[in-house]
Amino acid sequence: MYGWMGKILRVDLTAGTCKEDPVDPSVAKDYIGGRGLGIYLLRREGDAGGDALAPENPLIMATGPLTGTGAPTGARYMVMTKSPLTGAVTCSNSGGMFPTELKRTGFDAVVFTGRSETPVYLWIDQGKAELRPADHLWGKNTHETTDLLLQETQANARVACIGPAGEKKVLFASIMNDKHRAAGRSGVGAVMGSKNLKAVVVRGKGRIPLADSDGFKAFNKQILDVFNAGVKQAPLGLTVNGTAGVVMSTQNFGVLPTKNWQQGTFDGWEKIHGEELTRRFLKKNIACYGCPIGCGRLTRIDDPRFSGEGEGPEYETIYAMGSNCMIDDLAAIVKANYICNELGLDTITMGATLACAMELVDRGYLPEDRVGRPLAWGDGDALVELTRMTGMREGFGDQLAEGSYRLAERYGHPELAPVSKKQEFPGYEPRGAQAMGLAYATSPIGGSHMRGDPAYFELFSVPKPMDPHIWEGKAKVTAAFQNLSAIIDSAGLCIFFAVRNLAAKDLGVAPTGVLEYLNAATGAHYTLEELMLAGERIINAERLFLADAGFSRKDDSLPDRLTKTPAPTGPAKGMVCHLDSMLDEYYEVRGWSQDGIPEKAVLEKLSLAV
Amino acid sequence: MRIHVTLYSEFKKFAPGGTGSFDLDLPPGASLGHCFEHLNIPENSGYTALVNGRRADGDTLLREGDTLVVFPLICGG
Repeated sequence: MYGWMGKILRVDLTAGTCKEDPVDPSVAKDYIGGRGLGIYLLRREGDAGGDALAPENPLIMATGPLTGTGAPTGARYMVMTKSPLTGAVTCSNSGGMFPTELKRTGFDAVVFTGRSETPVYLWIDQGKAELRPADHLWGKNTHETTDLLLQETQANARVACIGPAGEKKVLFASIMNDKHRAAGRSGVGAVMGSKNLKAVVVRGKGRIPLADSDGFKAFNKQILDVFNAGVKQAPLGLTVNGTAGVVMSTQNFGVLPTKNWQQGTFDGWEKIHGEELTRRFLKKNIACYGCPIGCGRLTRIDDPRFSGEGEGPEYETIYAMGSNCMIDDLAAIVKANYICNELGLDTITMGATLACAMELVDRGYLPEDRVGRPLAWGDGDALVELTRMTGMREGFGDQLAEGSYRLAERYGHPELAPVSKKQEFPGYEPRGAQAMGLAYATSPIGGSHMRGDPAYFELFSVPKPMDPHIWEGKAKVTAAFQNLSAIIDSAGLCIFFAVRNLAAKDLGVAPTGVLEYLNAATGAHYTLEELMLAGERIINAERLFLADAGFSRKDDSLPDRLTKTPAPTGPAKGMVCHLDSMLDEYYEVRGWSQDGIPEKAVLEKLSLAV
Repeated sequence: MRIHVTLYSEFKKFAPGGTGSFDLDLPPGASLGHCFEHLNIPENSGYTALVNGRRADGDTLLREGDTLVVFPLICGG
């Protein structure tokens, strides 16, 4: 095979064995790789109705056919499993250097099943895999773990691991790779911890075979020439201020979630936005493997209260821990981000859960003596302390470790949790960006912006602007972006580059550039129609997993405060999110029943019918 | 007519007097394009312009009391 390595590594943690399986070329073509291959394997081998933290739940790490090929931003891998936070499928994506190194060991994917009796880590050295004891690493944070593993394996190996949060099964624990990069969402780290698997260490020097190496290089040059010419005219905002630059946009559109999603504007926004991060904290930009953008931020805090150096924060972290908690203390946000990376926590759910706790206190539903400290809006010190306590499940942190939905339910007010399918939203307020509401509600993993991101057309004008306040006609475009996302995630690319540079410049966003790369890499002779069907197939396969787990229209929901309470401030003042109208249209576009279940015709079209 | 303008980031340099937030007098019926011409902002400079919080382009007509915000094209998430 070309592009794909043609092998899957299966690790049975109960038996302590590793074995190889071939990849079926027709499955590879139909599901592309990464997220697609992940859902194919999960549906075959997992139990949609089972317990996410049971040994039987497979944990799948999968790269794509463009990972490590030199295609711009071809640096990604996907972690697929059933989520303990949502009970739905999750696919959590990360970049950096680990995914390329993993692929170069010779495997497209690693599938973990079972549970080891004692802590172990997986060491793959040039295609040879073994499980090793990790008792001495248990309890260590992700940075300590990474340093120790590089000492005892090879200095130039790459590490993905969990911190104490994953060990303690915090429901939103992340898997960190290259110390600072996170497969952050939905508790994939808790699943890894439940298996007593501390880390995956990889060293691979294998060549990734390309079907048409000359064609690949020529297309790569063509794409990069256009990209570089554009950058010469005006540097990319993502390069200059990272994703943190988005604060300026969301604030001015009135969609910067503030005060636990009560409003979409934050008076203190200029203290937490990207230019301030660059001015006060940035040391240098960091790029993932093969990335011409370099949106990663190496930052350092020189503040009498906090100290440290690390990567971040991203926009999503700044919204969740900043405006959403009414915190304009950027040093505290940066510090809490470092703690999340070191303990292995998702920054979005962490910040959103804390904001929910602040509102519960504010409304008198949660007594402060339960928290063990004052917890007022805007308290940066509380953010730092409670983030650490959450990662360690200490004191009140043990309650925060269950996420906002379970916290709010415990205190009798689940309506205050900013979630869909029990997962917290990223930072775009659907009352002023209607399609974002539809995307959150229909994302297979619950509240997420990365499984189809309408902010691109509603806020960023990519590839074309669409009025964020209208809801009519948004379903078709949202579905197109979700399908495109599935293709990008499965190919091993990053959405930041691919949506702008590798898709058609109309709102159908056909994956024209991805097609060229995939055919040159794999020789699979995809037609554009076949590739677009693959994207749709992946979305529908995920939806079938959800249906098997008992999800339907009732779960494609948003909290009442977004659909019934008019926005109180900003350009969207007076508006609600018209989710129900968009959902009717969306199910029709998808060929799903009005209860959100894929119908026979679409399943037959996608070869998913049983 | 008088509108209120706020320019962010690299657009601040087009602000008369160097402060990014100011009132601006324009002839009645002026469009955003006219306003940009008045401020010497190149039309092809890669901007997001919001008039009263709604996305606007060069043809958008301005009205007395409007609030205009201009910032660079931003992407990410």
